[in-house]
Amino acid sequence: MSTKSPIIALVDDDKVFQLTTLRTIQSAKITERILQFENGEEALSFLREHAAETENLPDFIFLDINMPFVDGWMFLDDFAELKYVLKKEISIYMVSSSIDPRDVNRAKGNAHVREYIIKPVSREKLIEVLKKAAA
Amino acid sequence: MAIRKKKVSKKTTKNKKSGTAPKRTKRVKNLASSKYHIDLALDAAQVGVWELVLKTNKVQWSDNVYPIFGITKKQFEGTLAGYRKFIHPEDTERVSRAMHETLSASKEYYVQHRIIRPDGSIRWVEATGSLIKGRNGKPVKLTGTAQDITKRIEDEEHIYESEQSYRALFNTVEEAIYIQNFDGTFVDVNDGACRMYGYDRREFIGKTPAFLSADSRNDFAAVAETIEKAVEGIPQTLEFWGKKKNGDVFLKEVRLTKGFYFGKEILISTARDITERKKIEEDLKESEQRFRTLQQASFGGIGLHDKGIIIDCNQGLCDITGYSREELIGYDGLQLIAPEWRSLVMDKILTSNEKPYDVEGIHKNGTRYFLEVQAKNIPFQGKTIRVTEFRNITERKLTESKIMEQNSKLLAITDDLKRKNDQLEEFTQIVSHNLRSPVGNILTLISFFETSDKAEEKAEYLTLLKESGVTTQRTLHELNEVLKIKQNKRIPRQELSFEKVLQHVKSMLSARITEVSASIDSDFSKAPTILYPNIYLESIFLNLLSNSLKYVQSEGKPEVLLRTYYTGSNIILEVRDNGLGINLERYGHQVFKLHKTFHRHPESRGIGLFMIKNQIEALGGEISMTSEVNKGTTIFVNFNKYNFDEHEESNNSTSR
Repeated sequence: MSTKSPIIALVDDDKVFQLTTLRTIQSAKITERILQFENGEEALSFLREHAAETENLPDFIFLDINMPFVDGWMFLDDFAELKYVLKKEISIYMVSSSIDPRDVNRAKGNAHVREYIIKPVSREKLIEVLKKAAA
Repeated sequence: MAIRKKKVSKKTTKNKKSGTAPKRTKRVKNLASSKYHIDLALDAAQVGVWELVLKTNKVQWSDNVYPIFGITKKQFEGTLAGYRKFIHPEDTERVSRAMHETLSASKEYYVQHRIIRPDGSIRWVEATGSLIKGRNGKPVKLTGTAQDITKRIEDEEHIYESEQSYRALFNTVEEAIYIQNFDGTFVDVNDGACRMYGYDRREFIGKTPAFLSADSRNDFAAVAETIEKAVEGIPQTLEFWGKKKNGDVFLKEVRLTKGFYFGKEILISTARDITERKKIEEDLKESEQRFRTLQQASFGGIGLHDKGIIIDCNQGLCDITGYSREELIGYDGLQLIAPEWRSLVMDKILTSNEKPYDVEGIHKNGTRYFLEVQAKNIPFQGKTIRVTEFRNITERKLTESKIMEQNSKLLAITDDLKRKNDQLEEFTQIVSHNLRSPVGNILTLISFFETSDKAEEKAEYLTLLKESGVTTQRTLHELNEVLKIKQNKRIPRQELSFEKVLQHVKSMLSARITEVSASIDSDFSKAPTILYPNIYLESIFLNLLSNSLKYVQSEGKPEVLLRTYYTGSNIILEVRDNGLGINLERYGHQVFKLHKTFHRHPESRGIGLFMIKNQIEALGGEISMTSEVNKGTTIFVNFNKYNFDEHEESNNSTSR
């Protein structure tokens, strides 16, 4: 992974988050390979479709909670089953504006969530997280 | 037996001796007349005379001997051997010995033996005899008497047997029996009496009962009086404290009767140890007393009945039913139960039910009361009766219903609080997600704007900043609307016609209706009007109808049916469409949440259902839905599911 640049997926209906995060990753030269999904359903369809393709599956997913259709929680529910057919181990970071302890605790209690990151995410924080993850 | 018989017979021998004495007189002239008299006497006594000449062994009998042997004079050989033939084989030796003793020791001859008559019958013969000596002083003859004593032997045996049986009986009896003289002295006692006191029979005889008395526990004057009465022939019963040989004291019951004992007038007392019985009696009495006390102390009413007929009851049953104990005993217990419950009670009796059950009772004064009945079958004097307990539970029933009422109020309050809490949580979620998000974006965009040096990018951030501002403002506005709804519970209601509201909303949506050429049907006949705030009802209709017109299937004509009806006292509005539908299994939890959308529709903002849900709930109603993808959706609005106003006040008071 250190030799090859990672694939990062952004799952969020928030246009501003998508854009600013994309710009940060690019400017920090972490990777060029960024996947963008508007909601959980789109992301799940992609994972299902490319389940066996190691070279196309993301290494990290930045997942929002509040989205239309399939929200973050529903995504995690489906992912719990889907991960068995996925050829790659994927780290999920939950990214939400919610500071509601119920959301925070629920995310921390989920085995697939590596970290809960509260929005807005500063560039420094994002780079720190990504560097730590990639290490 | 033979030895004992000798005793009886000796008397006879003596008599005979004195009777034969005159025979030895030497005055020959008197001899003939003497013999005549003797013969007469002997004949009368049925005593025969015999003579044995020792030298020749010849035997001579008087005439009355032959009948004893059941033969005639001619049939007798007249010899000793001839006589011996008749002797019972078991007795021959005895006869020989007696004769030998007489001859060798000059003793008086005496023997009792059996003979067998020619016809086979057995008789007892008693023979006596004396040796007659010749001039030289040597015995020449043996002469004596013979008598048939069969009857006497039989009588003796009979008496002996009856004495034996009397003794056996006397001793077999478990009770103690005492034969006493009129002065109280003991003549005889049985084994039972010996056992009772531990004394030997001989220790009783000749003594008075005084030595059997427990120290100073008996009133001897009274005892003497009963003895006196018994002597007069009136059977008496008395209790007597006895003291055993080993010192144990006990109580016995004595019956005194006048009677005979071997020809003598005596008193027969029979006695039995009643210490145990007395104790049992006292225990029983005590236990009955305890039972009675218990029964009277019980707060319930207890009755014993045999197939409904009351045998006994306690004061409690009188108190509950209003009848006196005298009235209740013999009364049909079923009459204490209200008529419609009697068959149930009868059923419980017949099935021997032992579990408590509730019925209604009828008081003597005709009033009804709630009753818990519990009964149990018990054996009583050889049959099965039922012990039934009545408990007046009117108080309890009332308390119960009060508790139930209180409980349902509490449940409603809890429900209401829960909904309020849910709403608060929802509000936190809205603030957390919908408000923090655009505000956070504004901050992020500003920092990106500041650090960017490309004009193109700066313009892009500026546009996004504007959008975020608008979103923030709109969200704030929406939240404000919701808060207004929540606060404005006392919004005035007016009687509204569903039909009129529908027409108004249809006119607002007429362009869309025409566009999708939808058919809208309605049936408000079952519940045509409602007391509700006009703007809310319009909002509900507008949102539901526009949703139905928005999410239509690409093919086929959109159809919407609106109807109202009552469920209990609640008015229900039902809006059914044949649109896209929603996968409720997947999205059900989000349906009525803010900014949740389930279709890629440009006008989907996820605000409509959220808003009307708040309006409906603020007025104590509930909204729910059923839906199937590509089949359609049905929305149900229960306008007054929770009687909100009713416990609004209690709510406030508890929160204060």
